[in-house]
Amino acid sequence: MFTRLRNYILAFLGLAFITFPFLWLSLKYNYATGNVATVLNWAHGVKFFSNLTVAFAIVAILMALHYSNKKWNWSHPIFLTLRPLAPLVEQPWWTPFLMVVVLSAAFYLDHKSLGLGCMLGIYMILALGLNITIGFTGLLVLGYAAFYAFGAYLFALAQQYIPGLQWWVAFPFIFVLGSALGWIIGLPCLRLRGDYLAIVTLGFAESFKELIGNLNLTGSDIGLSLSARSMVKAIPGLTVLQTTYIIVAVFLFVILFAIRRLYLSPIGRAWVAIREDEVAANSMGIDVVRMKLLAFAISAGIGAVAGMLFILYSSYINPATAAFEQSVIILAMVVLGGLGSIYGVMIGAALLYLIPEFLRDSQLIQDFSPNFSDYRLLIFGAIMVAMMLLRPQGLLGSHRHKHEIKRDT
Amino acid sequence: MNPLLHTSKLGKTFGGLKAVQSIDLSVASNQILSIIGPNGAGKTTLFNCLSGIYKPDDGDVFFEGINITGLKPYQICHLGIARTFQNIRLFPGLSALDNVMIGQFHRRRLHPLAMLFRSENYCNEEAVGYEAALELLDFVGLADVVHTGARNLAYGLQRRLEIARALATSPRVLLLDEPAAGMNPSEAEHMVDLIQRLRGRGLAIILIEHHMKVVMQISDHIMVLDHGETIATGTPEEVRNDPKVIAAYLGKES
Repeated sequence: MFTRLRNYILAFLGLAFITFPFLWLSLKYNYATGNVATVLNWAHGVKFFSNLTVAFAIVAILMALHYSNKKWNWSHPIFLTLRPLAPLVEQPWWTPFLMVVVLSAAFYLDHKSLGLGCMLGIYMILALGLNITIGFTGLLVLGYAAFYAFGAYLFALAQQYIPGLQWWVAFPFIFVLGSALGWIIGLPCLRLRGDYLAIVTLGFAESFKELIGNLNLTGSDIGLSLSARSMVKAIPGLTVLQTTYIIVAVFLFVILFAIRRLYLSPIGRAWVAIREDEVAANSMGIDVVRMKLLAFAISAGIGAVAGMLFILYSSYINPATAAFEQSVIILAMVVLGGLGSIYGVMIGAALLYLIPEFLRDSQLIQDFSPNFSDYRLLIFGAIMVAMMLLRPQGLLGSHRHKHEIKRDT
Repeated sequence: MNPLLHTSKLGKTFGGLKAVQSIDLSVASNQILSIIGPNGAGKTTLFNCLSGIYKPDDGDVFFEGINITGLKPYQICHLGIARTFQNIRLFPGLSALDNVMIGQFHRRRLHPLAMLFRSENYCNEEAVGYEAALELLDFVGLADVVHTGARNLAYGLQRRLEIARALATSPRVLLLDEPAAGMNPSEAEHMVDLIQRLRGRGLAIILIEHHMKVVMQISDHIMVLDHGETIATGTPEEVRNDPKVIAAYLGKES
């Protein structure tokens, strides 16, 4: 108990130390001139810092209660309302630390970095979602971007027909419909053994791309464009983009916690068992087809939710979102980070999204070749081959944690 | 005595090859039935038919009087027939504990939402399952390597882990496919001891084994297969002296 609590407090102090310089250095983006100005804002910083301290103190007290006396479990009536905070305590010690860094970044990142942050969060969600099928269950999916585009188009169209539809109303429906689509596509091919799912999803993604590129309803090749301001209600005191960034970050964390809990549950064990040995899993009482379908449906639903977040951020969608290239990039993130490793695939997403973004602006690369982005897939391919040869388990290998839930005595 | 598991005229062909034909076997609780025979006699095919991996072409399998022919492996497992594999098929990337806990899968209520929100019932079930898995690992003698990856276990321990995993499905019939294969005499002795203790738990056990010492020591009945056919059945004493069996194993006297 004390190690966890100590780690938590240490993480907070470390964070305070790191973020301290940023507190009064809020960057201000001037929409008229496009310049970024640094402004000193003590009051803002102090207020933010004190709110943070209070939040951390509350969680620390809860943790102390939770671990000091087993009767004060999360199922105690007092804690029932605070139960959503429980995942915080289960994570590795640096997760709350990381969460605060990520969320507080909304306050001091400039306009461009916030945009990068939003897209990075969306790619991380996609990588986490795809990791359920490829990493946990061992099913190859080559058209994951189709579910991403499906969610995005679904939300964009819903916006047009139901003006003022808010994301928090829409997202359960988008998740369920995305899952249903995954279920329908998985149903015929997951009954068979082998990589039929890869071929079917590949074909589905291509035909889906063609479909939305030719329907008038979906704006054919031009796509759909919406107004970000009407979709995202800005948190008072923040810009729309800052709010979007926070929404994406919160979704990322919730999905991360949810996937981690599922991974450590009997369902997660069944998924890994299917990956390790399908015949043995079947003989040990696992309904392999059902569990594969469940994995693929959840994965597809998460992809669709990522699509909704993409609309919130970019307020624009076109058929290129469902392109094969997109699917390959997400797949590469999962493979690079480590198949089946929850934190690994997030690192993979960060590397494969941020490095090309930074290289795009680099003068060195510009001098080398102005069309450097044309080589992106080539470089991805080279990285994939190198990874397969040098480190097939990915940057972080997957390993399951020791048992987390113990009997209360 | 009511047999727990019995078959009538069970047959399976691959193309023109009759891998097993008209097999009648029956096994009751607390009984050990051994199936022996030369390589390629159809012993493992018979197991695959019993556990649902193959669908038999002829005949029927009955479990507690219910016809279970043609059910899927997981359905047969749910009913209470568990098996181990000749070539060990553990989940190599998982710890010994997780391997065993996978065996409990079908007895768990599967509400993804309960797992997401870690409901009290789910937490209790998980804790009970954890303790039960530890007990089973202790029972087969793996208490020291609970968190070791299955891939990193010694060969003999992997065989034991397979048995623990099969036991975790709470079976009434256990099919053991060469549990003592590749073991030295002292390891085989330990395996005999383990199988005896399994019988003590009230299980019906069907055993495929090449170690004659093991087979003769523990079997209540022995069934000898050759070319997919039953050539002899009986107590170890009867089988040992059966001229057909001697012929199948040692070749005919000319």
